[in-house]
Amino acid sequence: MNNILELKNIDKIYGTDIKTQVLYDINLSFEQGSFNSIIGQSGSGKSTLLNIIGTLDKPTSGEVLIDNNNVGNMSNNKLAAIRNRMIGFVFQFHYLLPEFTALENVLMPYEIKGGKITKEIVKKAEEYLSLVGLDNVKNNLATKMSGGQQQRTAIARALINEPKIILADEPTGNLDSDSTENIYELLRKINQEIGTTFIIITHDRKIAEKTDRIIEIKDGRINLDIRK
Amino acid sequence: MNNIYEKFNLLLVEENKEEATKFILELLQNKEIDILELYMDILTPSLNLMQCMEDKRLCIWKEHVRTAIIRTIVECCFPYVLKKRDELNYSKKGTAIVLCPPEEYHDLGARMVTDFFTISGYHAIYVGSNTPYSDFRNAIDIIKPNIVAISVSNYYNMVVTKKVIKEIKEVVGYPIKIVVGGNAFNNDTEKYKIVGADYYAKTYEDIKNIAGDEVAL
Ligand SMILES: Nc1ncnc2c1ncn2[C@@H]1O[C@H](COP(=O)(O)OP(=O)(O)OP(=O)(O)O)[C@@H](O)[C@H]1O
Ligand SMILES: [Mg+2]
Repeated sequence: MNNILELKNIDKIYGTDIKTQVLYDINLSFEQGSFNSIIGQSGSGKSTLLNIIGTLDKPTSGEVLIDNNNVGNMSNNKLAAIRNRMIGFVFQFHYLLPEFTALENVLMPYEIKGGKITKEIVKKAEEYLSLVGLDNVKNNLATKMSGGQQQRTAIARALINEPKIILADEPTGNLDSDSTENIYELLRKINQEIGTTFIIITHDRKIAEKTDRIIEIKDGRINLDIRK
Repeated sequence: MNNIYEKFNLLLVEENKEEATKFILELLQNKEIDILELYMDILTPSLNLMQCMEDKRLCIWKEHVRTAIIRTIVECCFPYVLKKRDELNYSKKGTAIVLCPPEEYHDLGARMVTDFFTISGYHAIYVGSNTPYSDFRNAIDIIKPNIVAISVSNYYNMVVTKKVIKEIKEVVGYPIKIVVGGNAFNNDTEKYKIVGADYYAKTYEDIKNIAGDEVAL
C-alpha cells in the first residue's frame, strides 16, 4: 500500500521567549485508504499533530510529506491548493461560519477551490447533508442549529471536495451514543466506498476500537501504535 | 475428536445447554476425552469459531448464549482439572493471577487459562472480567504473585494493558512475569512486546513452557 502521508522527525515548540515543546520526534506514516485513530490525554499534543498533518501549522523541525510531496518547500499558494484538493477537516471547536446556512457552509470549500455553484454541486451538498441526517435543517443558519447538528454539518463540509484525506478532531465530541454510532458508520462507509483515508482524534473508545489502527500520544510522544 | 467436536457444535447451534453439558460430562466420566483435549480441541474452537450465519442482529445474543453454555461446562470441569493436576504432579510453583483489564468483558478464555495454570502446578487465582485498575495494583501488592496473566479481546484494551504492565513493573520489587493472551494478540504473535509483556500464551503448551521457565529461574 502507498503511503499518502508521512511525518519525519517532527518536533513542535510553541513560543519564542518561553518555549514549550509539545511534540517530540514524531515519525508516522499512513497508508492510502486506511482508517486511523489518535487517542491520548487532554493536552498530549493530538490537535497540534493533526494541524501539522493538515499543513495548518508548521513543525519546528521535521518533514511532512503528502502524497510524496514535501510540503515544507511549498509556497503558500501551492500549499493552499494542495490542502484544498487533498484534505478535508472536521475541527475540534470551530465548526461553521455563523452567518451562513448549513447548505452554504457545506458548499464553502468547493467555492474556495474555485468551483462554480451548479445544480449538480448543490444536489451533491444536499445528499451529504442528508447522509448526516440533516435534511430538515439544511437551510437553517449555523447559529440556529444544535452543537451536534453543526458538527454533522462540518462533516458534510469536509466531504464536499471528495478529499483523499479527512482529518477529524473529535468529530463526535458533542454527540449522544446513537448519533456517535451513526457518524462512525458514515465515516466508515465513505472510507470503504471512496477509499478516503481517515485520521480521527477521539476520546470515545466506541470509535477508537472500531478503527483499524490506534495511535496513542502521551506527552508529545507516540506511546503506542497498534493495528487491529 | 472430530466427531465429538461436530456433535458438540450441533448441540451448541441448537443452544441445548442440558444435552451439551451432559454430553461433555459423560465423555469425561467415561475417560473418552482428556480434560486438556477438551479445552484445547473442543471448547476453545467452539468459542472462537462461532459463525453468525443467520440474522446479523442476533449475533451478539447468540454469542452470549453460547458462551454461557460453555462457561457452565468449564465450571463443571473443575474436579477433572484437579484430578489432572494430581496425576501429572508437576512441582509446586508460586501464584498466578488471571484477569481481564477494565472494560474487557470477554473472560471465558481467561477462565480456561486459569485451569491450565492450576494443572501446571500454580496456585491459580481467577479474578475475572473488567478488573478495576486500582484493585489490580493493590491486589498485586498483597498477593505478590509470580505471574500475572492478562487476557485481552478488544484491541483497544491494549492501551490500558500497556499502562498497567508498565506500572506493575515499576512498583513491584521482585521479578514478576507478565503473560498476555486473547484475541487482541492472536493475529500477530509479536504483539505482546508492544504492551511490554514477557510472554504470549495461547495454548496449554505455552503455559507449561512458561512454568518451565519459572522453575529454571
Ligand atoms: N498556540 C499555542 N501556544 C502555546 N501552547 C500551545 C498552543 N496550542 C497548544 N498549546 C499547548 O500544547 C499542548 C498540546 O495541545 P493540543 O491542543 O495539541 O492538545 P490535545 O491533545 O489536542 O488536547 P485536547 O484533548 O484537550 O484537545 C498543550 O499543553 C497546550 O497547552
Ligand atoms: Mg485537541
